[in-house]
This record gives sequence, C-alpha cells and structure tokens, in this order.
Amino acid sequence: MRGRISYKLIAATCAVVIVSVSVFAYFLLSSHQRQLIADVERSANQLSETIKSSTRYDMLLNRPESVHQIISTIGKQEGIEKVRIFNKEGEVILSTDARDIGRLVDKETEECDRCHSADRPLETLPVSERTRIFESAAGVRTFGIINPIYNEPGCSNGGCHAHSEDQKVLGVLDITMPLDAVDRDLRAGQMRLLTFAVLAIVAISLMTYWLVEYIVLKPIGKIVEATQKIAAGDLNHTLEIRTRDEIGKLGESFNVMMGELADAQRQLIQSNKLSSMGRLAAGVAHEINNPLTGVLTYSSFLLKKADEDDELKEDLNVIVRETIRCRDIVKSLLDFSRQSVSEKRPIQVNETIQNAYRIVQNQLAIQKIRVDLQLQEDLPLIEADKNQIQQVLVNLLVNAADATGDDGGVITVRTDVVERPKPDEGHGASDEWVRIRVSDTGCGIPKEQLGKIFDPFFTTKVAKGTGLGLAIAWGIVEKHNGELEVASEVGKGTTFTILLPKADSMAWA
Amino acid sequence: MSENPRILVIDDEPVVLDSAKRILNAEGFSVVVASDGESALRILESEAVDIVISDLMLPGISGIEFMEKVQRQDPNLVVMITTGYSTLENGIAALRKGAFEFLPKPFTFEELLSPVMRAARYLALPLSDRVKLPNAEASGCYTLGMESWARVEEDGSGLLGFTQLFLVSIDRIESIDFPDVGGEIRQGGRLVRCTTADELPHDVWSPLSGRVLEINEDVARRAEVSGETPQSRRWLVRVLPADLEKELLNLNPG
Repeated sequence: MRGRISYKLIAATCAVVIVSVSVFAYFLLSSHQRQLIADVERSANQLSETIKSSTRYDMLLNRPESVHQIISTIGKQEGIEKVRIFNKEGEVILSTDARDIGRLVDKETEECDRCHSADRPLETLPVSERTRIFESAAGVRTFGIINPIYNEPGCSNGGCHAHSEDQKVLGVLDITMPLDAVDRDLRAGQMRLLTFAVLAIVAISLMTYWLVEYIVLKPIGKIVEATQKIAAGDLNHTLEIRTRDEIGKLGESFNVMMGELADAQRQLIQSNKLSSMGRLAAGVAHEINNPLTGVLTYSSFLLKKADEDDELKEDLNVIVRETIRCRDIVKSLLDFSRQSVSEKRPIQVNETIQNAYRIVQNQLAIQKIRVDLQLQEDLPLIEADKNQIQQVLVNLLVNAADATGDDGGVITVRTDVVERPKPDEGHGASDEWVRIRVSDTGCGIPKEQLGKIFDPFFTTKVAKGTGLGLAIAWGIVEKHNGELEVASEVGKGTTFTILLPKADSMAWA
Repeated sequence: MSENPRILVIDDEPVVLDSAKRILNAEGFSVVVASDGESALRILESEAVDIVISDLMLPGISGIEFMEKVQRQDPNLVVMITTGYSTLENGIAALRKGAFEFLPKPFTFEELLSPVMRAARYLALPLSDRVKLPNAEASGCYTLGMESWARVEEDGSGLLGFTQLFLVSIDRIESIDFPDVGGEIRQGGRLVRCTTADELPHDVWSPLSGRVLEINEDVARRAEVSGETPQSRRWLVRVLPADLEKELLNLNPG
C-alpha cells in the first residue's frame, strides 16, 4: 500500500515537471534561435552597409578593380560565402565567385522577388524583408541579404556607365552567409537544455519522493503498523508521532482511541466473564444442592447418634461443618448469579455511604481503624438500587478493613462530581458523574493481581469469604451503567473508585 | 405427638428421598415416597397422608401448583416445600401460597426434623385452633406463612415477631439467636433461630427486609415467652423497612 501512494505521487510530480520543463525549454529554445538569427541579420546588414560605403568612392571614380579587390578581401572572411553585385537588369557585374560574373539572374528568384513581385519594383524595403534563408547548392543552410545601391548625384556624372538621373536604384548588393556555425550553436544549446531538463526532472522527482517519504509516508507507515498490531491483539501499543501537523494530530487521536478501546474491551471481557460465570454458577449450584442434601442430612444424623463417642463426634463434626460451608458457598454463588432486577430510584448516595458505615462500624472500631468521610454536600442524586449500592460499599469497606489489619489505619471515603466527555457527541458535550472513592492505608494489591481481583472466586483471604464480593460489586456497578476501578500500591494502600451517572434532572428525591 | 403422622416425600432425586426417609423413620414417622406429581397424587388418593414434603420443581408440574391442587382437595393437609434453588423469592412465594414451611436444601437432619415436629404438634391441635391461631394477632399485621408477622408502626418502623401458632408448635424455648443491631435482614431470610428443649433449631423467616434498629431485650434475656403475654410484647425485632410497599405484597394481611 505504501508503494502505491509513492508511485502515484512520483508519477504526478514527474508529469507536472515534464510538462513545465518542456514548455519552458521550448520557449527558451525558440527565443534562442530567433535571437541568433537576429544577430546574424544585424551583422549581415552592417557588413552590407560597410561594403556599400567602402566601395562607393571607388565606384564613383569608376575603379571597378578596386571595388572587386575590396569585395574579394571581404568575401574571403570566415562566415561569408559570397558577395555579389547586380545591376538593375539582374546581371552579376561583380562577385567573389568568378563564375557568377556575367550571369543573369531571374527576377523571380527569391532574392529579386521581394521587390520585383509588385507591379512597380519597390524602392525601399525594411531589413527583415531583405533577408532570406535557403539551402545552398552544397546543401548548407545559408543566410542571404540584399541591399539596394541607390543613385546619387555623383553617379550620374561619372565617366563609366553613368546612370541617368531618374534611376533610383542602380543595382543590388547581395551577401550570403552560411548558417552552419549558428546551427551548431543552436544544437549545442538544445542539448544542454535537454540534459538540464532531464536532470531536473529526475532530481525533483527524487526529492519529492524523499520528502513525501519522510513527512507523510513514514508516519502513516507507523500508523498502519500500529493498526496491524492491534488487529493482532496487542491493544497497548502506543504511537510515537510527535510532529505538530495533521499527521501528528492523527497519531494523537489514534492513541486516545486506543486507550478507550482497551478500556472498553476490558469492561466487556469482565462483563462477559461474569455473565458466563453467572450462568455456570446457577447451573452448578442447583445441581450440587441435591447431593449436598444427602451428605448433610446423613452426616448430621450420624453426629447426633455419636452421642458418647467423642472421637467419632469430632470427626463427624468436621464433615458437618465443612458441608455447611459448602452450602454457604453455593448460596453465595446463587446470589451472585441471580439476575436480580435492580429497583432503581433517585437516591442520595451520601446517605447510603453512611448506612454502610454504620453496618461495619463495630468491626472497624475493634480493629482500631479510623474512618474519614469526606462527602461533598449537595451531591447530585443517582438512579440506583439503594440496597445494592449499599452492598457494594459494605463490601469495599470490609475489604479495606481486611487489608488494613489490626494495627490501625485510616479508611477514607470521598464523594464528589466529575465531568467526563460524552464519546458520541464530540467536543464540548460532557456528562456529570458522581464519584465515590474508598481508600485505605493497607497492604496494597500487587500489579499482577489488579486485573484479577474482580474475578469470581479470586480471594487473597485464606479460608475467609467466598471471593465473590468484588465480582458481585462489579456486576452491580455495571448494571447501574457505572464503572468500578482500582488503583493500588503495595505497602501504601488501595483506592477503589466507583463512577455512577447522575440522575436525570427530572428526578425527584 | 400422640399421633403418628404419615409423611409423603416427593422429589426427583433419590438421595433426597433416601435421606428424608432414613431420618424420619428414625424418629418414628412412617414415610412414603414418590418421584413425581402423578405418582404422588395416586398415593394421596389411596392412602391417608398427613404431611407432604415436596420439591419446588417436580417433573411436569411445579411444586406450588401441586400444593394448591392438593390443598384444595384436602385443606387439612400440611404441605412443605423444599428446593435446591434456595432463593428467597421461592421461599416467600411458597409461604404466601399457604405452605406450612419452606425448607431450603441442603438441610441438616435437624433442619428437616424441626418443621416436621412442628407440623406434628400443629396437627395435634383441635381444628378450630388451627385456623384461629395464625390470625390471633390484631389486625394491622401481615403474616409470612404461619409463623411470623409484621406490623408497621406509626414512625415507619416495622415490628416483627413470631406467631402464637409457632409458639405452641415448638417445645420450650431455651435460647434465641437474634440478628445484630445495625445488621441487615432480608425478607424470607432468617429472622431468629430458636433452640428448644428438645435440641431442635427452629428458624423463623423474616417477613420484611430492613436494618435492625432494636431487639426485644425482654425476650432475649429471658428466652421465655409465655403464651399469655399480649401480642404487642411478643415482638422480637424492630426494623427500618427497606422496601415496605413492595414487600407487603408478598405477605398475607392478618
């Protein structure tokens, strides 16, 4: 899955980069080309003007050999193919290529066509119209420029082939230059640009890939891994994503969600444990009671009959006593498994706490345990079965007393109200819960046992109690839609926390 | 004790029939057994039986239905209900429907014997007394079965005690086990246990649930209750009722 996102991103980035770089390269190259041609045009025109001005004097003095000399010298320069001068009839009168001299050039050729295509030949022409690009006889791309030679007063006075005054254009200077150097430059430029473009594409793609990988994919990978671990059953995995962006927030929410999921699962497991235990208990209890009857009646009967035989009496007494103990265990099993319908009414739990305290008061006094009741005044009412809540409290107090032993200590019972967010309704909405905390300064519960203390039949009190008290308490609290939790430190003490939802505001005391 | 009451024990568990028979025979009672409602009815038709001890759950018919049926046929029959589902609700319901006693299993042999002896004494009473005595208490009282009563005082507390009938059906009381003041008792649970001269324990089932406010010191001290004393002095325990309204529905008005 990670692969697919990367590939998609890289493909998208590549496409964008390729398109933009290509467009950029295209425009760059075209303008480069235009620039180069314009340069050639300019220098050609300048050369052509230079030739005109440098041969003018010699033309006026009718010294064709000098003109020819000048032209030949110039023509030999690198970058110039041919220099020709036409007269107005199209006859080549001077040229750096001797073979051209005397040849007639057709008016329809490209160089002549520019002016002669109109009805009357044009007399002036802008520079751009005077240029042409063509393929020379040798197959080389060539640039050509014509420059009209204008009649001047001095020309009509000359002794040679004097021109009449009314002639505007006496002839045309034509210069051709090969473009191979220019073309080479252009191609080199193109190659450079292409290389750059490819490198840019590769570099940008890689960078994008690494950035995406680091900023987005790594954290997402962690989240994916975490969800896989959770699917495999390890609910205690926490994510380590500390960035402050949305992904960091995702990680945070994820952790919070995991915490709540783990809690909910614990509650569910406990609840399932208890209900299946309950069903089992009821079945077993009923089945056992009948054979127990047999044992108990006969053994008690024999006990009565063993009047004088003290030893026999003692032995039989053990049987009777232990069978009666079985009876008690079964009875508490039945109590535990009974799905008793709680009679819920709005009650003030502070009162119930006081009642529970009164019940265990004597026992606590004997153990020299002090009880500190810190009950919040005006505590909201809760919908509850008074007897059952009392049973839970008595159980917790008795446990606290047992943990404290006989050397004195303090049991603190506190009530207050806490707010907890409503999970279904998003931010802001929260519920009020009544919280009851029973704390003791007793021996504490080791960490490994904390998960088991609410299990039926789990007890650390040897030969005392059935181990069902906390399981029953947990069941009662759960039936009241509350929560029962424990926190403990060995050697320091234990605190049981009961959370019960506040009664609706419509309730009356 | 002059008569020799004939007892019919009905239970689908053989061990229960065996132990009941053994115990009761040893005390001189004649016992006949049945393992279901049908055979029990047949026995009742053909033989004279004075006391029936029946399990709450019989194959095919509930113990209570059976009880109502036979009591209709013979109102003088004493019927006791026993059960392995020793829940308080079952006991209370049986007593309200007219069972003489409720016997939760498992029971010791004395716990079996105690109600049987009481039943025997009860059967020895003249017929007129049998009907009158449970109602001897003044009106305003509610009874649970034949043995205990409850009366609600003006201050909201409940007075609980045992009936005259109970008293005359047991031997002289030697001691009474009371619940602790401040302790909780449940409707259908044990109110007090009386130990009599014949060394039998007799449990009185409590008509109400609640917190024990006071016990009758007189009775506790002297452990002797004369049949002549006015009923108001024969209360045993005063409680703060936990759920008066609902629980009164389980009792019979006196």
